[in-house]
Amino acid sequence: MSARETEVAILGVGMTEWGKWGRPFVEYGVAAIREAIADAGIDYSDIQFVAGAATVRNGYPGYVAGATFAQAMGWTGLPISTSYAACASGTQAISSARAQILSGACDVALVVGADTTPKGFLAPSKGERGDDPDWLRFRLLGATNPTYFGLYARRRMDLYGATEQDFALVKAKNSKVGARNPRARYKKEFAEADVLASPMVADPLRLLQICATSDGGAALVLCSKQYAENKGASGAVKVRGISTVTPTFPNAVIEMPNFATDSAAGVAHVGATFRDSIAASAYAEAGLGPEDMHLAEVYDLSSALELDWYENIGLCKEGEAEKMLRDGDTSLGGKIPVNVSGGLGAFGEAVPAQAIAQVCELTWQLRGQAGDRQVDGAKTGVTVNQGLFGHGSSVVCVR
Amino acid sequence: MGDLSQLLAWNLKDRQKLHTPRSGAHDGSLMSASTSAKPQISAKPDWFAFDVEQPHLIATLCTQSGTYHFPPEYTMSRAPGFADSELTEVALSRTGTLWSYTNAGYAPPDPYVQTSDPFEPFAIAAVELSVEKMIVLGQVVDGVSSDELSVGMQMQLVSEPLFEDDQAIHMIWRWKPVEGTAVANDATSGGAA
Repeated sequence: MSARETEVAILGVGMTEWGKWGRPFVEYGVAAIREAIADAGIDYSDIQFVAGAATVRNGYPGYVAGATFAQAMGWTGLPISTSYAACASGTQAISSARAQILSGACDVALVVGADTTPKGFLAPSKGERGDDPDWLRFRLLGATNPTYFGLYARRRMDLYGATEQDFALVKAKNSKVGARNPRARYKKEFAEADVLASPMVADPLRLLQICATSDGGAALVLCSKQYAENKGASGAVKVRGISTVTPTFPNAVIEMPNFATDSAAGVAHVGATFRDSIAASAYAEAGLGPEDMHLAEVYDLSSALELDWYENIGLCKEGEAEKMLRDGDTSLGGKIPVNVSGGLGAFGEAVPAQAIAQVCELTWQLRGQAGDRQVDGAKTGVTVNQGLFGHGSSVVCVR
Repeated sequence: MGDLSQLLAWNLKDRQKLHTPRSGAHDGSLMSASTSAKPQISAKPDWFAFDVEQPHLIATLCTQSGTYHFPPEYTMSRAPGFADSELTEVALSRTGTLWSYTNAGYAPPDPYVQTSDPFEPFAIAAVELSVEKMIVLGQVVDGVSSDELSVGMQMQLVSEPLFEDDQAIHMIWRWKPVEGTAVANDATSGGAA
């Protein structure tokens, strides 16, 4: 590993309770910002850069998230950035802020993402867009996001012998901790039988195994290690590794919103698969490996997908995720607890906020502030997430 | 792979004809469509050649690397290092192996066009093409539910109506199980355990 500095300090974190409130997304973002700034013990006027994670589904203001939040907080003339990478938008915003800090362009930066979502399936914006695969998959295939989750889940059953009970167990596990998280949308414990009795949405996935779409906001105050030290916070949680990787050709996995994979007929794929490469890149930057992690927040768009991530982030070998789950290794109190926030199953998707929210959870955990969902002695953690169109997203935090 | 492209290339212009639908390819609420005098056209002519005998997906082949592109890519090969390669239109294989499958248990949102009321679930297949070494999605033919599918089945590409409007019946590719190729679930799920 090179001697390149990769660390910035997380001085403050903020997150709204997630739900279906129907308020403008700016309100959620502002609430998260104010909490993060208070948590950091600074004033908004101290912020030197704002990195916004964009949402494109709420019309014009969503496309300009950085400026929207800078305006909402009262213009101070500071520079901004806006990142769009679908579900990975938050990590790109973190990466943008970190680059500013590490380059010396600023000492302290704000990262924020917030969303207001419509009910039901995520759907394309109105209008005829016959050249856009993300529009065409609805028109020509009727393929929603859960269609892709269903394909992965069925494949997992076929390859590794996963069962519907395993997928239900993931939901039950996460709902148990989600019920203890005051910021989760669903604070209800579900038994496996409840999950298996819910209606089928995308065979083999049922309603309670697919994450909802939610309103919510999350924010971070990031700063240089020197700035943290000056504030008496040299022991703050640090971001040590960030991954925003894309696939390498040919990508053999059918990815949302595509109609087909790349063809491997001409050029063979070399090296790690896309999903395997996402956390690997963040680990490499951090100089750590999966064996060093004390907890993980993974992107459980479906309960079945959580199992894929165990393997993709190196917690176990391919095909062993079900055993890890059944053995309780990934439950609170297990070897490497996964999604002790409750995960997307308890939160639902608020696209620009969720990758930031994952880092908020790691921060609380690494500070020992997670209350009755605290992972004992947690000093390291990893997040992983993936945005449609080929956006990898992973953050390694240490304390 | 250049030779293979010659073998696989269809004369696409000759195949962009309008045809009557396969009998029995659809039923239920779309029965009216099949008896309609409206023309049948491809719902996506630049991707799908609606041809009653040989409906097929239209791809382009990077002739130097042997890489296929679906949807067809005409600007530049996506295979790294083959930017200057020629891209030739070819038909994708019309049979493949079921890689995975799912269904739509609830009506997808717009711009999906719902053709039955109440909504009837339909299956969606991901089919692996052996020559092209790629996986292609498609709806499964009407009347075959996800319960009847198993990974490893052979699937055949056929054409069915997707929806009908004032002008035409819009035809789409669909995957149909080839009879007698079902793989027992026990065998497939136990294999890797």
